[in-house]
Amino acid sequence: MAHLIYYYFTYYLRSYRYFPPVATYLVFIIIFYTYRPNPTIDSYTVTATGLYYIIAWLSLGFFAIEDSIQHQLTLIHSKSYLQNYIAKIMTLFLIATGLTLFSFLYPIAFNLLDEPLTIKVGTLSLLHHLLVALLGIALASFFQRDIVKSVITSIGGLTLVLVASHVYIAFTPFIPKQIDFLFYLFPPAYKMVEVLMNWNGTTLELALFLPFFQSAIYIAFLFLFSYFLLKRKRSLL
Amino acid sequence: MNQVILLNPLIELKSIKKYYKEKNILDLSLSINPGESLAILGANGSGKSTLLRIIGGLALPNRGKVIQSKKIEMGFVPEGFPRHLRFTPVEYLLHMGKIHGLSLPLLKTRIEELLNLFQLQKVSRQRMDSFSKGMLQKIAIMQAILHPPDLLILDEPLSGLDAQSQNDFLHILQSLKQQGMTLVLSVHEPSLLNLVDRFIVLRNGRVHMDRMAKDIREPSMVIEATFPQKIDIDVTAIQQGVVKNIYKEKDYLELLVTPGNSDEVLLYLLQKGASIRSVYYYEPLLEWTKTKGGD
Repeated sequence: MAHLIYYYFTYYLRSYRYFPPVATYLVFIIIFYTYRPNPTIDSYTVTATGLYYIIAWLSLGFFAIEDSIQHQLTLIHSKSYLQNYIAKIMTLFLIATGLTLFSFLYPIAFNLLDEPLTIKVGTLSLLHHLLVALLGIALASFFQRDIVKSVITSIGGLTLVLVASHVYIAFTPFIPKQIDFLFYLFPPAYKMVEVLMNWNGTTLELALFLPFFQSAIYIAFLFLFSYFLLKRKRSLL
Repeated sequence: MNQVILLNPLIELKSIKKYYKEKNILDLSLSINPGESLAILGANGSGKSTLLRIIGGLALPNRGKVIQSKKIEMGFVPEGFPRHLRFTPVEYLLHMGKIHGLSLPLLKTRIEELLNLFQLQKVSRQRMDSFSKGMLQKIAIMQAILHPPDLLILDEPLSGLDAQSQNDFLHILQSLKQQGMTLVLSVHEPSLLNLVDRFIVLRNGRVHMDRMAKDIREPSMVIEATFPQKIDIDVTAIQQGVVKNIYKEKDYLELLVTPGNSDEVLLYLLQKGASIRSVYYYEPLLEWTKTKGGD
């Protein structure tokens, strides 16, 4: 598994396709912290939201990076379809962790936050970054080209879902009560933002973690479902 | 019927069916013996590449079973190795070997051996995106025999190579065969006729012919016949070393016979009410050349 991750990581680095999303994110962080005020929780919530979009963009490119013939050879050598899928997700998570660390440490290193960082806020902010990054990876995994053949549908579908996951709440008053359960199908990105924006930064209650649990379940389901679709596609090859 | 007899197959495909949107792609049974070299022939769309992918485990059949006599190691040489890999041969082979689970010392020795064998030492530290097709095809084989495998699957291995590279390749395949490696190749080139022990011809996803290569090097005749009504021809009555291959589909029958016995077979078919469509000398090389093109 470690070698597969290393291989995918090297393959991606050598492709230089990481440059647009990574550079965009780094520039975004730097510009964002240039302007004050920078309330700690709110700032980290914004950078996590940025990471959610960037990592989904990066992941969609990453899933399509390996040449299709080379993909067959990698599968033959690794002897496991599942291992390959997990290795790709782990590689992406590794990249996401790097970006998370940058967005977390940059304002600390240059003393750009308005309030001193507490352990509670720091831990929850890190967790938030990593979870939304995983959510972005999971969504990209669902819209990857091996599952969604058309480029337009793949990119368009992912963009639509990413945006909808944040703005759907504005439409809830217009939706009949009988079908409002459908909102649970949307990625829970907004709920995590909402709970952090309303947090005082000191008390730790269960209500604070509920959206995080919900996200974790959503992410796990999405990964499993994408894997199921990939396996199904394979039987059609 | 004078068919290929298989005792302990390395891999067995039992009643494999592969279809896509109602279209039948593959419908066959096939056994591959350890140590044999099997060529798969067929026109475009006959199912060659699908069959290779199923043997290699890269695609799954909709029905039927793929049975391995033991846990076999496989190597796969694809048609058209990727041209834009930004690795050097050494980096690439190290990646593939490590992913395969080979230990680093063993892998390093093996890579050194293969670089010498394929005469690629001089370019071992150059990135492969500047390599010619012949050089890339060598890398394709190197990655496939790194472990080394029990079964080596090659999809059009000579396609697009110049005469010199084809010749080099044939020598490499010969040497792998001599080492006892089982080879399954999808090929068109007549030059490979001397390499293979056995060949099958696919037609519409079915095995049209399954013969030992040495048999078809002898002169043969093909008799094509049809039956106006459903008559069950007892083909066993005309085998006895006379008929080399039988292909039957609905009311169509195709027999491969030794030339000296063609009259006897024709008479038998006519007595049974068959209409003879054509009789012609069978040219083995023609079978290869008329299957040019991939699927």
